[in-house]
Parts: sequence; C-alpha cells; structure tokens
Amino acid sequence: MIKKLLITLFTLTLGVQVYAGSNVVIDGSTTVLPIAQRAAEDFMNAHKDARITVRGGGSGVGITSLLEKTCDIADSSRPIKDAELQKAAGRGISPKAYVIAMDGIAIIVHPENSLANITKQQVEDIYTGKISNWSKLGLKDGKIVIVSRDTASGTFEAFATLALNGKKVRADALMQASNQAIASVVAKTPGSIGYIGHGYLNSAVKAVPVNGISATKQTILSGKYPYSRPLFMYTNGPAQGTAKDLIDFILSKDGQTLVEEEGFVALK
Amino acid sequence: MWKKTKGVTMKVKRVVAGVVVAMMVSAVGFASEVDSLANLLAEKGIINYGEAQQVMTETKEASRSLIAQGKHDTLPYWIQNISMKGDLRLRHQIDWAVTGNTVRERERLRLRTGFDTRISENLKAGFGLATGSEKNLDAGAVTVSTKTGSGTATGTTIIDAEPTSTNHTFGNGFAKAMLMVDYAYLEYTPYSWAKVTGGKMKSGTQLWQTTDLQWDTDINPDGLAVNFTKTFGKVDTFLNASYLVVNELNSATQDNPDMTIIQPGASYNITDTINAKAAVAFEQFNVNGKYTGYYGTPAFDYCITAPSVNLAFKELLLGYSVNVFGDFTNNSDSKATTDTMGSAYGVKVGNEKIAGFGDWQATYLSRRLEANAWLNKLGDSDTYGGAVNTQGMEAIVSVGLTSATTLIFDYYSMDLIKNSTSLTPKTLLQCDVVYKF
Repeated sequence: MIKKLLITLFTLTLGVQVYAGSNVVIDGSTTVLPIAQRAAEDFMNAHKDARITVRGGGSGVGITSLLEKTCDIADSSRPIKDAELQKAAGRGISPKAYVIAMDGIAIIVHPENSLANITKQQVEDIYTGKISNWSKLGLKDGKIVIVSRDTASGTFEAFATLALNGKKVRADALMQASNQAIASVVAKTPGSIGYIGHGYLNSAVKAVPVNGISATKQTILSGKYPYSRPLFMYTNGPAQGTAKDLIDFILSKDGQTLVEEEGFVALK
Repeated sequence: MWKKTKGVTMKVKRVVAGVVVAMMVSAVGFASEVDSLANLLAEKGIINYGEAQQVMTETKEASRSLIAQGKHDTLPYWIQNISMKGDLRLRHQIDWAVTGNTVRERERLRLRTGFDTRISENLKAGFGLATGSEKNLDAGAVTVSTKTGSGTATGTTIIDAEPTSTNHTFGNGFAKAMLMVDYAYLEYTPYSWAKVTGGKMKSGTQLWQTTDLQWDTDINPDGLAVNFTKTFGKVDTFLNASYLVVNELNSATQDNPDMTIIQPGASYNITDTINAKAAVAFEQFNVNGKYTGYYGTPAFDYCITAPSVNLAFKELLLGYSVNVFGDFTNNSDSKATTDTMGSAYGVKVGNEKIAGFGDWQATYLSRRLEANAWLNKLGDSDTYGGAVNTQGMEAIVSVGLTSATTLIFDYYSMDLIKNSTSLTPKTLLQCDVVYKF
C-alpha cells in the first residue's frame, strides 16, 4: 500500500515537474501576439507535452510581467526602456532580447498616382491633418483620401509610433479593420493614401519610397527603411528549456515562414 | 545564434564574432560603429540580416544594462543610477476680490527639480527642490541709499502667505527666489506589490484622489506610507496606508498632532477603452487641542470618510478621451454636528495626454467644502485660499505648444457658503506656460 502510494506520489511529482518545465507563459505586445500565437500552436502540435499560454496587453505589460516573474517570455515591439532595466537590475533580473522578426510599414497609393517619393514629415502632416491636398506634394490639385487602420491594431500602433510620433490620426480618415481592407480601398480609390504591413504589398497598389528609401525586405531588415523596427521576445537571462526551444523554433526556417505569413518580415 | 552558412567557414565566423564581441564589451560610443559593421557584414553575406539585428540589439542593450546595474566602468556609480526631472512654470495671475473692488495682478514663477537614485537593490532615494513662498520687504518705511543721496521709501510687502506654495512672486527689486527642499524620502520595495516610503514624500503617496479638494498638490506630507498593489484578473486592487506628522510639540504631557490614513481601492478595465477606478479613504486626524498654526485651531479631531471615483473613456468623442471624476468627504467626528460634507466633481475632455503641439484638455469642476468637513487651508490654496465654508467652480484649459511645453488657463470662481455677501465672491485667473524637462 505504502509502496503504491510512494509510486503514485513520485509519478505525480515527476508529472508536475515535467508539466512545470514544459509550461511557458508569454505576455506582451499585441503586434507580436499573432506570431506568438501561431508559433505556440505549431510548437504544441509538434510537442504534445508543451503547454504554452499566450496573452497580449502591450509591450509594457509584457516586460512588467517578466520583471515580476509572472511570465517566461515577454513579447515586445520596442526595446526595453532604461527605467525597466533599472527595475530589472534592482530585482536581479537580466532581460535578454531575441529579435524574432522585423516589422515594416509600407506607404501605398493608388497605382495611377504619380507620387515618386514622400518624406516622413509629409506622411505625418497628411495623417495629422496638416496637409489635405496633393498639390502640397507637388502633384495635381486633388483631395487626399486618407485610409488608416483602426486603433486596436498592432499595425496602427506601429504606424503611430514610427510615423506620427504618437500624434492622433485625423478624424476624417477612413478606418479599416485589416491590412487587406486598406489595400483594397487604396487600389480602388484614386487620390487615396494608406499604410500596410510589408507582407501585404501586392500589384494592385503602389508602394511609395519614404525619404528616398523603398520598403524592401533588405531595407527593412537593415533598418534603413524609416518605418521599420525589430520585434523582440525577452527572457530572464538566456532562454532555457521549453522557452528556448520555442524561440529556436521561431528563428528556424519554419518559424520564419509563419512570420511572413502573419505579414511581417522574416529575418532570413 | 551562429548557424553554418554555405560557402562561409566557421573559422571566419568565429573571427568576425570575436571582433564584434570585443566591440560590444567597450560599447560606449561604439554602438553606431557596430551598427554599420553589422549591416556591412550582412550585405557581404557573412551573417544574415537577422543576426545583424541581434548583434545591434545586444550591443545597445549591453551598455544600458551595465549602467542600470551601476557597473559601467567609465561612469561614476551615482550618475549611473540617478534620474532627474523637473519643470519651470511662468504665471500671470489676476485676483479679483469684490471686497474693496481690488484687482491684484502678479507675475510668478515656479521651478521644481527632482532626483531619484537607486541606493541598492529595492532601495531608492528621492529628493526635490522647489521655489517657495517668502516674505519680502517689510511693510512700512525703510531707509535706502542711492548714488545721489539717501532717503526713505515705503517698502512693499509681498507675502505669498502659504508655507506650502512653490511660487516665487516677481517683485522686491529683482530679489533672488528662494529654493527649498520640496520632498526627500527613502523608498523601499521589498516585493513588486509592496512599497514603503518614509520622509517628506511626494504628494499622492499618502493616498489617491481625483481632485485637490482635500490635499493641495503642493503639499508633500511628512511621515511614513505603505502602498500595496495586487491584480486579480482584470481588477487591479490597491491599499494605501500612511502615518503623517502634523507638528512636533516637544511636550512631556501631550502627544504630537498627527494623522493616519487607510485607503482601499480598485481599478477595473471594463473594456479596452473604458476604465473605472474607485477608492474610499478613512482619514483620522489627532489635532484637537494640539495644533494651532497655518491650518487654524481645530475644534475637533477629524474622522473622515472620503470616497473617490474616476471613469475614463478613451477616444469617446471624435477620438478624444472623456474623464468623469469626483471626490467626496464627510467628517463623522462626534463634535462636528453640522456642515460636515464636501465634494469636488467634474469632467475632463481632450487628448489623453498633452504630448505635442495642438493637443488639448478642458476640465470643469464644481467644488464645495463645508465649514466642518475638513481641516482649513489644507485643500487647493487657489480656491479661496483653501478655506472651508466655500463653494464654487473651476475651469481649466490646457494646450500643448511643444512636446514639453504647455499653455494653461485656470479660472476659479468661489464664494462663501454661509455668511456670504455681495462682497465675498473671489475670482482668480492663472495663465501659465509650463516647460517640463
């Protein structure tokens, strides 16, 4: 009887330890969330003992969660801040960043639009309401139809950070629920301007160079394209166990394929 | 991180990695050079762009981590851990007092600077300096000497009269502004959910409220405060507790006047764009018979119950945020039988934060503080000097001029509740330019 009890307890303990070792909690950026969710699904399909929980809430929430040791991986669409590094130092935590993808936002116009280049300032001025007519950009007189993502999207968050310096989009912008919807509206509306993730570019719209730099995989990866940024997963020290395996999977060929499928730029 | 690439030997990669790591170790000033090198290596195909991004990220964060830990060789420890911020406010103030039909116009400035430094794990010190009120020339005749002779002149008394004010009023012949210790505290954070603060602490450490009905925001109280936070699902709960010293009597027979505060509260994200926050403060003063000073001579110990509530709606009106807020107070001390209630409630509309040119916020609030509701003059000193037995309204309009500069118009219209006459109303307009650094 005692022997059976001991075996049961031993098995349960081993099970708990295995469960605990395979259990990974991911918190953070809503931009990185689709990558994390897809990767978690594919990883768990291939590793039946793995349990991965993925939550959003924002980059700041993820890093706070890492500092409070309530998550194993923090998704972030921005580098960790100095104040967060100070808190980490105070708590004996060593955040380590893994770049898992690049995010690039392309500025698109109708294919018949003759715009050859646009500056960062012009993009900001158009989207914040200071410029409303194509004549201000040296083109034929015509009202600019501004198309934007709704504020709940990661693409909007990226655009607001990279292009608008946190300013508000003008109230008369046409809000769309997806990258595909923006591309569709711009393709059909002469005089329109929009922005989409690099992965959603197609021949129905025209991508415009920003500050003379075109949005290509190379310029986004090198950071030369103005609206590009790395996407991170942070761990406490070098990743270990299942968390390491998951990050290695994301950085693998299969993982980078799903990165591109989610509309981001793969690292390879 | 280094995977074998066709056509490139591991030996070359190790050499390149060694060069890059050596540069990372002495990363200060080399971050941009490393970025250029990493991009060049990627263009040449020696590493891929993903690896280049990883190198660039690790280079930048390695140096910042060393600074955060106080281990950077080239910078003194105290610089590595200190952060500084402050603000400078220029004000034109117009006071209309019906009594005597007077209009008083003043130019004032306020300078505040604050420093935080991490002493060790979980222990931080903060201190701040601010300009303050002063008594300038004495009223009455004074003898002055000039190059052409001597004579007498009548001095002008410029008294801001508020011991907690951070304003310096222009006058007194270009006199220097006084700079005083605004706050100085030690903060210990043994756990992420608990914080202990001791000293002259920043306003708001002792409790959370939505207005300055009870506490003028310039008041940085002295004492000890403990703040707890805990999240349960979507609800963030908190508990504030503090012991504050009002005065020191140096008496063998009487204890010092003091107060204690306990405030439980919670914040709940109803949706991604709607937040509700509420708390109830229980504040007990121990001042009856023990204190006479700027706040008067209290006739009883105040036993206060003060609920506060804030409803925040992000992007409700044409993309602008709306806040509905209110503080209420009731004194249940047995000796206070009438006029024991107070309230300040209102609405704020505009950008969630003023972060640049054209951002704006507009606030309207209604205020009422009955005679026995609270300690005299502890509340906002711009509302009838913070006096009790007053009621009125306040309207504030703020407009961003730059990311760090704001233009603010603050208008008060107040009167007494009891014993008001045609001569007792007071109105006040403050025109501020505030620069934050």
